Amino acid sequence: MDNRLKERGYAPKVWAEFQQSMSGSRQQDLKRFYQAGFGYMDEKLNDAPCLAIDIETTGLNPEQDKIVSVGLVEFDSARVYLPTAKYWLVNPGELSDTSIVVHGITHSDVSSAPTIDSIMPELLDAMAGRLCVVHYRAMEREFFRKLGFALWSQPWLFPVIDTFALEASCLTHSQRWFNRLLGKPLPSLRLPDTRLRYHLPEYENHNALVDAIATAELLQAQMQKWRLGDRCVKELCQ
Amino acid sequence: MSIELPDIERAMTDHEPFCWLPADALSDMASSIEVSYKQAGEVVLALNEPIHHLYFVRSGEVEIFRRDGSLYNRLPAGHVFGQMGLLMNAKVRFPATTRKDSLFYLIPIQLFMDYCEKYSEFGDFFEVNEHSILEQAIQVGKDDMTTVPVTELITSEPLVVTPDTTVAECAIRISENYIAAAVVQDKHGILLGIVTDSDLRARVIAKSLPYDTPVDDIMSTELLVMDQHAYLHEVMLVMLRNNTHHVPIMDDHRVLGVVSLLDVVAHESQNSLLLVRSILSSESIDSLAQLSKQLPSVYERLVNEHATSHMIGSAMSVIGTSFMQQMAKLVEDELGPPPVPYCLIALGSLARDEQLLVTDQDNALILSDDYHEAIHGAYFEQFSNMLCEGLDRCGYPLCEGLIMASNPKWRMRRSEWRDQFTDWIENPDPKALLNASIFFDLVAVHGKKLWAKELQKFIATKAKNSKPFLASLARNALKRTPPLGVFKNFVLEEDGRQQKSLNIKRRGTAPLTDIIRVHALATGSILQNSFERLDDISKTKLLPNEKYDELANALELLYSMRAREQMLAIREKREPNNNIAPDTLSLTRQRSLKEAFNVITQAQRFLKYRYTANG
Repeated sequence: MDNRLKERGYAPKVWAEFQQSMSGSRQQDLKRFYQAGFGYMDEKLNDAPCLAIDIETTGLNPEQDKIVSVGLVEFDSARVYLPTAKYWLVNPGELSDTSIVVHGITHSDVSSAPTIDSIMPELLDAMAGRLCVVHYRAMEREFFRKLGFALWSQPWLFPVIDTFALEASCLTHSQRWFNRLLGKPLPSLRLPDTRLRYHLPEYENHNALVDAIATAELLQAQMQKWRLGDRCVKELCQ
Repeated sequence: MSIELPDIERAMTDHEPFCWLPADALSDMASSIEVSYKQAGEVVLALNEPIHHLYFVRSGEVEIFRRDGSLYNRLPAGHVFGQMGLLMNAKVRFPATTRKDSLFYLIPIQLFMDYCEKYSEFGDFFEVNEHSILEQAIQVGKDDMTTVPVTELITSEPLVVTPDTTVAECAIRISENYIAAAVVQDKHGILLGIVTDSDLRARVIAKSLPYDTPVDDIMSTELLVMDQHAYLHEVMLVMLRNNTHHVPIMDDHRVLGVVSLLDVVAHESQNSLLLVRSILSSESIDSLAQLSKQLPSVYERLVNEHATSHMIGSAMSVIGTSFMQQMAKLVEDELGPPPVPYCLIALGSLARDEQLLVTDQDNALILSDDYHEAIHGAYFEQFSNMLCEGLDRCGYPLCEGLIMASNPKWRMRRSEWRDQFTDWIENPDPKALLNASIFFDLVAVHGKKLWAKELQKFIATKAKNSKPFLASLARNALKRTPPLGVFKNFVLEEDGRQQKSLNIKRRGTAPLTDIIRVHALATGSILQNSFERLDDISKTKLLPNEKYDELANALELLYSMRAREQMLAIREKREPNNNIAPDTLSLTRQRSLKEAFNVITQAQRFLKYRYTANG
């Protein structure tokens, strides 16, 4: 195995090759996920079946922090399908005292929740064959990378569209040249702030599911404003 | 697996018909929704296409059209549409287009039908609405003025004559067609003028012109025309402002028809227009005072008809101006003609076309440069006192700050007014300006109206280039902060009735119009209305584009809340004021109010940075 796959921030150069190499995994759940493939990579974004996903964690460091909840929802260029929404609270095992409350999730909430490995089959099935969309990819990518090695000693990596990075690049391209020259900073790219620029409503509560829905709505808005629907998914993925 | 979506439920639960659903039904509904985003200007529903969902406007705004493409309604966030289609063969009956960037929640048809059956109040909502929708779609008279396109008033093809038609023939054709006006066009179909009943009377018969005079000689050529996409209320305002009774409606260069004042009156009896006509034909101060009693009910109706705040403000301002104008005429009748020409001007909200109820009179006189205190002083003193007291009787209380024509200080010659504005602008003293900012919104009401226009232009040219003046004005505009605490909570004061409330005028619309005034003066705009000023400012690159929408939305929200509170006060027979107790508002309204205040805070921050940075 390529050792760089363990490195923070690294992603395979050619996703198709990586997917090939993983399809033979002896881990049945993981094997199904990779066998479903990344076929959407060659489609137009308009036609791609998407899945917005968000996680909440006990902190920002994938080395020591744990996932406490996962939310996801299927969507495409036309609709976000709330009947497909899924949300799990996850028991992270031992919680340090400092992280008793994370985003309103309390220790007692998660102590009775399933552990991450027990939700994996369902999570992997929900994700299989769908283009994952996240806001700020570093979180999901690094926590999932870590999780893959922890659970199966295998890398769990997949292409994503990152609405955060997409916003940054669209804004940079549309910025006037002199502002770019002057190094004018971009406006805030946080999810709520970015949504405001598209006149998307504010959500009061933030949990992994609400943020996944918010991310799906945001990509629809970005697709319309920047005319991304006819672009090939491959060009927009990271 | 059913999943909880409290955020989705909360967004719907404040609104009809969802507020009628039990919690678990709403919860099931939330988890069956599909969400869809559409940019402004996109088609949401096209006529006759299949429809499988009820649409809920989560944010943004849509326009709903009739089959013939005319605008039927505008629906902001919190409203539903598509029910007509769902109830009739699942085909779109009323097409919809986004007017703003919008987010929709789509409720599946099976669930919609199911709930209509199961929950009677939910179902009733659609039945009532379905009925009224049908009724409104068919009957013109029931619609409100803001959404009635003027084309609905055109009942017949225009009567067209050529310039060489004789007045006799024209008169015959006019009476044969039971029509009020003939359109004069050249052989290429270009509109040259119109001839009305009253033109024939005043210009032919009264002057004993021969009956073979060509209409060319007597037609009105200074025409006000309006585009076919105009709304009824716009035409109404044009008629009122220009005292004209016939307006040709154009499709590009082609005359579609002529709309007359009578058509409008017939369509909208009992409204602000009728009141204005009565005011302008009033023959005594007593009868004016009597008429002013109708003001609250006219106001209530305007607000109820879901007029925009811009429209309410304009209508109330036209009414206010009419009272002033007629009062001035009646006083002149009593005192005899003025010894020198003058111009009566209105200041502040009336000048900005933003008048609501509860507003004192702010006015002044521009006198001719031939005015001499010793000779003419007595006339204008008496004139002004009678004028201001008369207006007081009509429900426009005397101005506590004495910004009234009855105050000798505000009766000045044209040149003195120019000097006064020069002084304010060139030697800005924030304290003096604090009381004077109202003078920077001015409009002519009666007399030599041109003088007021001149003054507006003079101010616009001068103010633009004076940084210290703009800085002082900006500093003043920062004095009244929106009532939001550190944690975005409302900061309340006790009002007269010992209720915790906030003054939405002092803390909301006033600071916002102050901000807009500074930008308008800085960009040399001569417009007075805040919404129009925003449009004007947006042509410059002063603010990022999305800011104009934010400011306009905040202003609309604050004004409409003010208007609504006043309307409720009238309905409940309370004294209308400008206080709002946020507790009495729905959560959604509280949130949008906070958002509007937040926009003000940000705009004040920008104002400070833009105009006072070096001061």
